[in-house]
Amino acid sequence: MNFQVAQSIAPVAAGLCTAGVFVSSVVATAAAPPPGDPMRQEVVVIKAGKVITVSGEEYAPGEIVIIDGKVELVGRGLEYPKPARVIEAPYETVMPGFVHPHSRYGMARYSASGVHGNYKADEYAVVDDIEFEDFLKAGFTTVCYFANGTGIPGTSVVYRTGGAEDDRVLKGTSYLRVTMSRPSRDKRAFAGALDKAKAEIDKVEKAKKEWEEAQKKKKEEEEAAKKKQQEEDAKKEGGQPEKKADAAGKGDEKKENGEDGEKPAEPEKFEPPKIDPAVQPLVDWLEGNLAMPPLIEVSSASDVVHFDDVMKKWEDKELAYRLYLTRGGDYNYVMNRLVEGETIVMSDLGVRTLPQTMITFNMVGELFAAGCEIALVPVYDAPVGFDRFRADVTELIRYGITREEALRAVTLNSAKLIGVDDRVGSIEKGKDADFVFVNGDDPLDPLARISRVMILGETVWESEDDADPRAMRSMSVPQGGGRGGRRGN
Amino acid sequence: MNWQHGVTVRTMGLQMMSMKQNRQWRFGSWVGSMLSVCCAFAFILLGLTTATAEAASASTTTANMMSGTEGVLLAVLGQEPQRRGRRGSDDDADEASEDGTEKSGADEDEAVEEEEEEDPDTYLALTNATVYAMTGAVHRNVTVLCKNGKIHEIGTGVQVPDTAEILDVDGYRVYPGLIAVRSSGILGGGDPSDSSDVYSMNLTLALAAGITTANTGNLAAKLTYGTLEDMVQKRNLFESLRYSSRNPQGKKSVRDGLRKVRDHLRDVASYEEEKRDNPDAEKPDEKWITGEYAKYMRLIKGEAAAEVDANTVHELIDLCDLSEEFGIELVIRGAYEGWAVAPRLARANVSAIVTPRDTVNANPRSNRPSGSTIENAAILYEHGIRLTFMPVGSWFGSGTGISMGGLAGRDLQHLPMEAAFGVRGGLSGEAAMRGLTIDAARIMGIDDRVGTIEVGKDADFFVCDGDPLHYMTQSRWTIVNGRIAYDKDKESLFEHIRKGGDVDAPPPTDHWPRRLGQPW
Repeated sequence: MNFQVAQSIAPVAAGLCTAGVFVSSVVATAAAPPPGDPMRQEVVVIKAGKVITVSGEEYAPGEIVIIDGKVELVGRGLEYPKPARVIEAPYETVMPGFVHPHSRYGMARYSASGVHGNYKADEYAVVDDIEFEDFLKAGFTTVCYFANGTGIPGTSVVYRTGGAEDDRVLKGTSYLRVTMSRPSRDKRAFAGALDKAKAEIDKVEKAKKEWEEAQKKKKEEEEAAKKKQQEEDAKKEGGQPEKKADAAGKGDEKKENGEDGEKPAEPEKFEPPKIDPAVQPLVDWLEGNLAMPPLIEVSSASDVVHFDDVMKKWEDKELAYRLYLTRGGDYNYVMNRLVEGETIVMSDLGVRTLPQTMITFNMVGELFAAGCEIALVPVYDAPVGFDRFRADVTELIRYGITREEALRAVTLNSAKLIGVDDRVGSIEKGKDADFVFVNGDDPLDPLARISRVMILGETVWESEDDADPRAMRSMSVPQGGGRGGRRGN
Repeated sequence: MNWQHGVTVRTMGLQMMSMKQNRQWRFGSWVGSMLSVCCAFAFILLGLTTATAEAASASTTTANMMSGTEGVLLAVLGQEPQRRGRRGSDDDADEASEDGTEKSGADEDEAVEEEEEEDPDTYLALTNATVYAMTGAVHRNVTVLCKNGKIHEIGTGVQVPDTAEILDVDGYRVYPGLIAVRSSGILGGGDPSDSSDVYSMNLTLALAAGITTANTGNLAAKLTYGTLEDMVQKRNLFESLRYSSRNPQGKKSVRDGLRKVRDHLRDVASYEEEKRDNPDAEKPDEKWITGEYAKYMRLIKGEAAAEVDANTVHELIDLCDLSEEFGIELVIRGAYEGWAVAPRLARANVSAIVTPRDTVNANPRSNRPSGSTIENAAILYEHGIRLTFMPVGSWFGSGTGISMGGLAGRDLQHLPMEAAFGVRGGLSGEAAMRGLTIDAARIMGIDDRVGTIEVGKDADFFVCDGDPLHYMTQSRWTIVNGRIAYDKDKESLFEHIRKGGDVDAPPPTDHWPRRLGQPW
């Protein structure tokens, strides 16, 4: 597997980028001069041994045409505008970069308890402080930072893990986080927040009703006054011929009405009373205006029951939400319940044993088999977790999920979850060119190694140790059985 | 497999529907077919993508392994089809209609109609039952029909609806669910319906001991496995009273407080009388009745019983005096010297929570009867004192009572054994069982709902394979609010012990002792 990566890089506009720049690290790329001619298209062509699009076909060999950082074409034998920079990777597989939907790695230490729907993770996740290279090394090109804390600590923010510093934010407001991992603490906070949101909605509705009634009354009074005026006018003009007066009167009336009808609507507009910003997202949720379903964090089967208990009150609203099953829960008790959800987020990677037994149980596999879509999260929110992520996912394949499901679970499903599936998560026309290059033909082979990470068509990280086979081995081979992954039980 | 989710049919399109059916089919034959299909899929794909022979063989091994353990896997999943009503009766209507649509095809309108016609009630029928009703009667070979968590009908020739879940309990005994007057660690603290882990091992262990109701904190709660519905039964069961001979000042303040409240109540009564003649009569001030005084008020008015720790003759007599002076209902915890003053206790009409297993030596310096005796429970019962039992606590007399800490088999698992010690000391078996059921319910003031098997009461049953006071007896099923909360054959804990109720059955050959936590 010790391929020497062949690279031929065509000269780019004005010869700004030399080969040296491309074999450089993140820092060097960030420091690279911007493309000279803004009018000119930046065309990058990847000719890879294999292209996994996740959403569609796999091409082996395959080509991707990138124009201005966006995917233009995927397939085989493609035509592309010239001049173009061609990246030859005949022994590598290109797939969409991994998406981490739930991280707070390197985020400022803060934590909110209670209801803070208005808090945003990006107020605390300072881009400069985050070691994005740890994500890049493991193949993550997109990462969603959540608001830390308990209760309803706020909304999350989605970052690119590389590229220009001022272009890191992919989505400013992602899912609202709701914790239900300790019902004795969280249940009342959540139920109370929903009640408060409902009270705010009622408050606005009541105010609107009152305003409308006041308006109606006002209008009626005005019309009554007008009628009186007209009657008086008609009395005064009693001597004139009827026909003419009629026609004229009607004309005047119309004109007057037209003017009067428009007048009151213009200056007086209903101003709703202010809503507590802390429950604003919940108000939106109850009214069906929340852009993304909130993410409910649970840590055991019982938490799901408690969550359902809260939601029973709001059953008629059919509120959408997603569950995040954190590590180590006894979710097998609520399997039937869980398969109702379309997307479930899990950091419960690996195969576990059922309580009090030696029976191995692949929760992820069972949920996929039951028709759920799952987004996977590294077990540890640290480089050690990022590095073993691929190996963990590979283990799930060994225990019965399909390769397609695994690939979806680390890219497209996660992107959907955080609301950026229109930008990343698969290789499709119009999406960002955020790719990960893996040597060999299967990115989920534990021996395969990440050789290059690309964001918006620019190489932002590249492996430097490709000459050393030992380094290759030590990177992602699963270390022992760990949590119940032991074989041969 | 019964499909138990509450997504209404109304909201789904045709495509969704067929998907659902598909899912259902998949889940139905779940481990067997789906996993092997799944694995085969993975196998093919791996083959396509030039997988190594190693990977391929690994996936087939998984398939074999999984199908081999199918039965137990299903059992341990806790997803048995009979387990009703995760969401309760409202959703059961939806559930039923989903079943209906499967038969009739994917016609949406029809589904909606059927949903409306469907009987929303849930039934559970125990057939061929030997019912120890705890009312003095033993009904043999009867059917107990439960409707929506309540006992609906008991007798022979009971008409069982088609939708009823039927449990043939032939050869087993049906008792009312046991009641634990003290417990900790089974349900969550504070309001248990907001904090309990409804799938916790402790809950299952308590259910395995036949317990269906427990006093936790100061409330009575049902051990509703997997649901929060109808969990809390009654709040503010007791008022605690500190009246110990070790704290004479405390005793005085209790007496003074009670006296003040009593005098106030007398003032109120005379005011009411005076008001009839004199409308300007001044109403006695009530603002001061808060905190302790409010508690005394409830006690004197008889709205709550006082729960007190008392063991020695001295303490017991003191309490009897207090109870008689102020007309307070007393529940005495401990009472190990009660046998010496049983007539006095009986006159004061107290109830007692005893621990017959505990022993305390007599005081050799005392010139009066002292110390514990195994006959305590029997003597108290003979004198007409209402009894219930509490296992040995962390320290004698007033520990945490029933705790679930430690290994399976301790404490709460021994609740009937505690009563059996009373029987050893001369108590009748009937009285001991009453102590664990109806008498405990009376002491807690929840006998309107639990404690006996009578029409109208809650469908809480302890279905066991013998006399509950026998050391070999285990729960076969424990039913709470008309739902099977524990099924010995489907929980991994005791499933392999005396399988099928055969007392001579040896342990299975593939025996693996069940422990808490990870098996290794």
